[in-house]
Amino acid sequence: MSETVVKIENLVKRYKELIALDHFNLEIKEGEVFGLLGPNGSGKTTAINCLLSLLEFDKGNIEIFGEKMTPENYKVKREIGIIMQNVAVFDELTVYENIDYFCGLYISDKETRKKYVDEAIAFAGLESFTKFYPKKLSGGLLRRLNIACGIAHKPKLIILDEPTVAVDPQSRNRILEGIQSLNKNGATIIYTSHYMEEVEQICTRIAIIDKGKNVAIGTKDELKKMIRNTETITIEALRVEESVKKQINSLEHVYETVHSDGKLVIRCSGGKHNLIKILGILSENDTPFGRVYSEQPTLNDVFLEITGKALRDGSDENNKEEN
Amino acid sequence: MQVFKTFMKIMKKHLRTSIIYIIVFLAIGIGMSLSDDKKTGFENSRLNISVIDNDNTEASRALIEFIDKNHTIVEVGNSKDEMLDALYYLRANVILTINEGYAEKLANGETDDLFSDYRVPGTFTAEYFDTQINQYISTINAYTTGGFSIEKAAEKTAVLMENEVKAEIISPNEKKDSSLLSDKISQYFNYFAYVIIMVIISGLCPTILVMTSKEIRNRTNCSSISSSSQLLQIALGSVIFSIGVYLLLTCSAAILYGSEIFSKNGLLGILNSFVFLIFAMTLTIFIAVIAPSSNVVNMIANIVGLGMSFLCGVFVPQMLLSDTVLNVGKFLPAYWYVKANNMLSGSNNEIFSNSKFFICIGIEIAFSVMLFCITILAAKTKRSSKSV
Repeated sequence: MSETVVKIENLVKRYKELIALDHFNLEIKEGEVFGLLGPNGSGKTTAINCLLSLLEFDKGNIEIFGEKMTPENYKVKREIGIIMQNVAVFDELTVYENIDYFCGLYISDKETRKKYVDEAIAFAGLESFTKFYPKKLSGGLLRRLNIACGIAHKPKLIILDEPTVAVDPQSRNRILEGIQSLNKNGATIIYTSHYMEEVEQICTRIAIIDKGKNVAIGTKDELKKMIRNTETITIEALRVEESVKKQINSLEHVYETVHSDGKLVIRCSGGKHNLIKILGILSENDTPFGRVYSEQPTLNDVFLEITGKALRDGSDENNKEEN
Repeated sequence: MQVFKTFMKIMKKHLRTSIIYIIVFLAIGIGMSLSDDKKTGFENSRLNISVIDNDNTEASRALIEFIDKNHTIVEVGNSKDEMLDALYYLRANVILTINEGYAEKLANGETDDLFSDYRVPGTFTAEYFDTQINQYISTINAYTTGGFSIEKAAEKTAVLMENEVKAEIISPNEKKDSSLLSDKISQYFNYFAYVIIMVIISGLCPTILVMTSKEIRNRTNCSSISSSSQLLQIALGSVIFSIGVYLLLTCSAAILYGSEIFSKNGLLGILNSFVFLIFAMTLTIFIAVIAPSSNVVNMIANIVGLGMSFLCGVFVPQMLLSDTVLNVGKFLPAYWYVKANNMLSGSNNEIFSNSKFFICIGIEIAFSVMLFCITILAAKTKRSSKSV
């Protein structure tokens, strides 16, 4: 059985009246790519900052590698790599010097450090930019530099806080592939994002956070099983009689039928062949229709059903706290 | 020492402004050291005066003698055209005609129509000559009213006015007390106050701001280096830079001004500037704490550096500043720094005494301590407001 790398118990963090983390619990095993999914302001960054002892918390306990995490626990800190949401590099230093600086905070031996820095440069694909200053790099390259600075010292636990914000698709794919390769090399990853597609793509286990609480946790399949929805059928239809909607709604596995903006959206729970039955009803009633889509539930559906709102509905108030 | 090494690397990138200040300061220092103090002095302006004596008496001849002593008497001819030509080509500044009856009128106490003259209207030279002649006539008048004969009054007036124009010029290098620092070194030390503030703020502040920015600080705090070690390494870098600049400027003074720097007063001057260096460093940390970004650092440095220098007598001698300005200056450490320098050089009528000198040093240290406390308070307030 794999060891527990991170254990957070009953963590409470308040900013005056605002409760950023409300009895937050989490357990992450060795070798996992663990996703923290939640809208902006849900408490992801606060949880990470508490985990790293950058923020004092009001209540609770945090253990990393079986040791209590404190600001002075440098032994544990040595094993952690952090890639912050805001790029933290020196504009005055070149790409190579930046990676060397952050690697040097952990590795004092010059030879080893040089080897590690070169490997980090190769990992991030920055070989052609080693003498560039950060201001000369594109947004994607800058993010890759940020990642290289965080992983150069070969940490066992890597925390990535929204590493793909404002990144072009090409760099995003490269970053995601890189994270998976770090995991294959033995690192445990904590990945926070509000992009559900990314989390679905790379995370082995996911925790959904809302208002500082851990509302659901499991693999993506486990999470999807938690909700009623198993299939969402969308049919382009300009006009649908009320009687037709009622007929569809009366089908065994259909629990919701909504028609708006020229689209008929039918949500099903369990059962198979729903689509054939629905299309049959439309044909029988001479209802003209266009394209038809059938979608499996996404994490957004999971979040929507659990919290009653979509993942990207972050409140402004909470955004302030996160930023 | 990773933080220290990076601190020094980043500082190198921000040194351009500091280097410019140092070069300009040293150039001024070299200029001052090469200047010849003996040329410094005071000389009365001598005008070219043409005199036509229509009275031809003892009194009028005495007046001509007085004019001859203070000015140069030139011949321009008697015709009007010749006189106007002389004025036009500046061969003469004033053409004075002593009217007939000059002596008689003076003896009777009358001062109207004694002279007629040609001059270029509204010129300083004509006004200057007028003032002198009026003073001469008033003095004679006073003597004649007192019962002296016109000849005796003219004689006494000439002697009196000769005494009045005598002025004693003390050369900066001819102090009565040889232990006092020369004005050149005193000025060097005074300018040092402005330069050290500008150099240290423009060199250190942007570097400290970069190293302590929220992102970098958080990122470094996640590492296995303690925050106290980080702070110590940043402090070490700051101290090395400041001491380096201080040594450079002090050694330059030793090269430029020689052994005088190593006299008792010279060494006290070095001590005074070192204490001011501590204040400059404290001020730099304070600005680094309150400055919202490195873009405004130069603006703040200019306001603080120039403001303090003008209010405290760094550029303009304190004796020339108004009481109001000096009263404001007393609330700034540069005032006490300059005052201590003045004591060492005997400038500004300051008389050196150990107790007065060390009171000035003590006040400078008190300012540094006070500013350091305010800085800690500001840093705490800033950190707590940011974390909310």
